[in-house]
Amino acid sequence: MGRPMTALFRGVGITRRFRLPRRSLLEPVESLTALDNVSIEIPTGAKFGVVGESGSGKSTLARILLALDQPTEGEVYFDGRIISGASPGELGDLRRDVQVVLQDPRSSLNPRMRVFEIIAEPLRSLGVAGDERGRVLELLDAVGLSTASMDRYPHQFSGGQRQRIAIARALAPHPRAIIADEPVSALDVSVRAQILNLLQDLVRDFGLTLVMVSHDLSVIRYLCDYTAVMYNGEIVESGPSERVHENPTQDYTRRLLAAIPTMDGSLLERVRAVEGDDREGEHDET
Amino acid sequence: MVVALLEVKDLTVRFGDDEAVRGVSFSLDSGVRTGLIGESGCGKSLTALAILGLAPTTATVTGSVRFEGEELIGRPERELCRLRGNRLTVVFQEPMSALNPLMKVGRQIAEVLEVHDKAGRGEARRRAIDLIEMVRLPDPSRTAHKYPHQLSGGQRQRIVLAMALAGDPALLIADEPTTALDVTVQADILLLLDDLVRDLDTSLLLISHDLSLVASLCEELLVMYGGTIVERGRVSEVFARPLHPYTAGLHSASSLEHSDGTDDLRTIEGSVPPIGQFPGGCVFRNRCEYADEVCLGVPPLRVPPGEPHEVACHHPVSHD
Repeated sequence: MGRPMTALFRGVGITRRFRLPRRSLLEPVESLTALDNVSIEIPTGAKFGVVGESGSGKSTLARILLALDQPTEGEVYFDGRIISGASPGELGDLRRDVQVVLQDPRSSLNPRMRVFEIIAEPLRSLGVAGDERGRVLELLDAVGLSTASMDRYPHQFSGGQRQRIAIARALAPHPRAIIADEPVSALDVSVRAQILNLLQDLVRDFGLTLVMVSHDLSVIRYLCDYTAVMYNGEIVESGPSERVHENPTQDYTRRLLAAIPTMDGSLLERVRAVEGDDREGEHDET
Repeated sequence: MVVALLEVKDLTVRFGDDEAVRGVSFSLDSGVRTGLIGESGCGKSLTALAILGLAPTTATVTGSVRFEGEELIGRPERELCRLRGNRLTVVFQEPMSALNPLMKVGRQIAEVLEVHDKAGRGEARRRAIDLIEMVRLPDPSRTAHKYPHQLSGGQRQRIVLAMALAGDPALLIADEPTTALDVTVQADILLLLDDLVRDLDTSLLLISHDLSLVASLCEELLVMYGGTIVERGRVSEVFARPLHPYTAGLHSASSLEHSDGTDDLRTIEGSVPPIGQFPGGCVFRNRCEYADEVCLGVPPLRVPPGEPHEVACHHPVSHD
C-alpha cells in the first residue's frame, strides 16, 4: 500500500442522541447519547474493524455510514461528498456504492422470495443495467453456491449458506464498500471460518472497502488491517490492527483483549491479571 | 473400583426412525470438568437433556444413564424432580427464559431450597441472599427484590447460576452458558464459574461450540458429531494432537489468533446435515478429506477403549 490513500468515509464530530420515551409529565424527556463526538477516517481499500460491546454505539455508527440514520451533530462524507443531512436525490450513487451484510440472515432475507429474486432485487431497484440472470449466476459462483440454489427459498439453506446469499446480494450492484455488522456472530466456528475466508477473498478480488462491526476482537484482528475500539459512544483507541492488538494504550482495550478466550486456555489467568482483585460483578451493569 | 459420578452407556435418542443421538457412551468422574464440543445439530444439547430426563416427549430415549450409581432412564418423573436442581443441575444459554418474569429473583432462588426441603420460608430467604452474594452481585438484599427485567443479561445469568448451585450439586451441566453475552461479561461469568465449581467441589459438563471456552475451563474433552462421540481425551492432549479429522478441523477453524489473515483459515468443508441424513458408515465421511471405501461401509469404533485418548476414525490424523 505505497500510494497515499484517500478516505472513502470520513466522519467529523459525529454525535447521535436518541430521545428516550417520556417517563414523567413533570420532568423533561431524557436522551441517550449513542455516539459522542466521533471522528473517523476509513481509507479506500481498507479492511476497517469497529469493535465494542453491546451499547457502545458501533451499530449506530454503521447505520450513519450507510445513511440509514442521521447524526444529531457533525458531518459524514462519502468519497468527498457530504451524505449527512442529504436528501435521497443528493445521496447520488451512495445507495449503490455502499451495501450491507447483517448478523442474522434469517431476518435479513425475505422468506417468500427465491434466491434469484433476492439477489436480483438490488439490480432492479437501483436500475443497474445488464444481463440480470448472468449477473446472479456469476454472484452465486463467487460466494460458492450452486446454480440450482437460485430457485430455492432461504429456509432451505443452512445459516452459513444464508449468509452467503446475503453477501451475494450485497455484491450484486458492484458496490465500492461493504458494511458488515456482526456477519459471523450467529455462526458455528467451522462456518465462521468459511465466511471469513470468503469475505477475505471477495474484498481482495473486487477491490472493496470493508467496514466490519463486531464485538469479537479476534475476528477483527484476523480480518481487518485497522481497528477502532468503541466504548460508551466514543472511539477510545484506533490504529493499525497490529499496533492496537499488540500494544494497546487504553485500559478498556486491554480489558477487551484479555477477555478473548484463546485456544491455549490462558483466558482466566489473563482476566485475573488485568482486573486484579476488583471483581464485584458491577462490570455487567447495563 | 471407584464408581463414576455419571456413567452414560449406549444412550440413544430417536425421533421416529431418525436417531439424533446414537449410542453415546462416556463417564464423568467427581470433581472433573469436561467439555462437550461440536457444531449445532450434532446432538450435544439433546444428550444433556436426555441425561436430565428432559428430552422432548416426542423422543424415545434408550440406553443407560447412571448418576451416583443409580439408573435415571425409566425413573419416575417424581424421583427425577427430587434430583434435578439438587444433586444434578443445569444452566442454559438464555437466562431470561430460565427465570420467571413475574417473580422477584430472591424468591426464585429461595423456591429451589423450599422445593428440595432444604429450608423453611424464612431460612430460604436468608440463604437466597447469601447465594446472591456468592455469585458476586452487588447489594444482595436489594438485588433479591428485583425482577429479572431489572437486571442485565450477565446479572441474570448469575441469578440462574445461584439457583443451580442452591442445592448441593454433584454435577452442573452448563449448556452454552455465555453464548448470549458480551465478551467481557462472558469472561466474568467464566471466572465465577471457575471459582464456584472449585469451592463447591462440583463436577462440570460444559457444552459449547466454542473450543476456546472449553480450553479455558475444562480438563477433559468429548467431541461430538452426528450424534456420536468421535473423540475423547484430555483437553491439552486433544488440542495438541487432535486425532479425528473433525476435531482437527474445528481446532484450526477456531485458531484465529495464530493467523494473520493472509492465508485462508483451515476449516471443515460443507455443513452439518439434518437429523436422519448423516451418511452410513462413518458419520463424518461426506465432509472428510481422508474418507475412502472403508469409511463408506463400516462405522468406526472408539479405540483404544479405556485409553486416555480415544478416537472413532479409520484414518486418524498423523502427528509424526
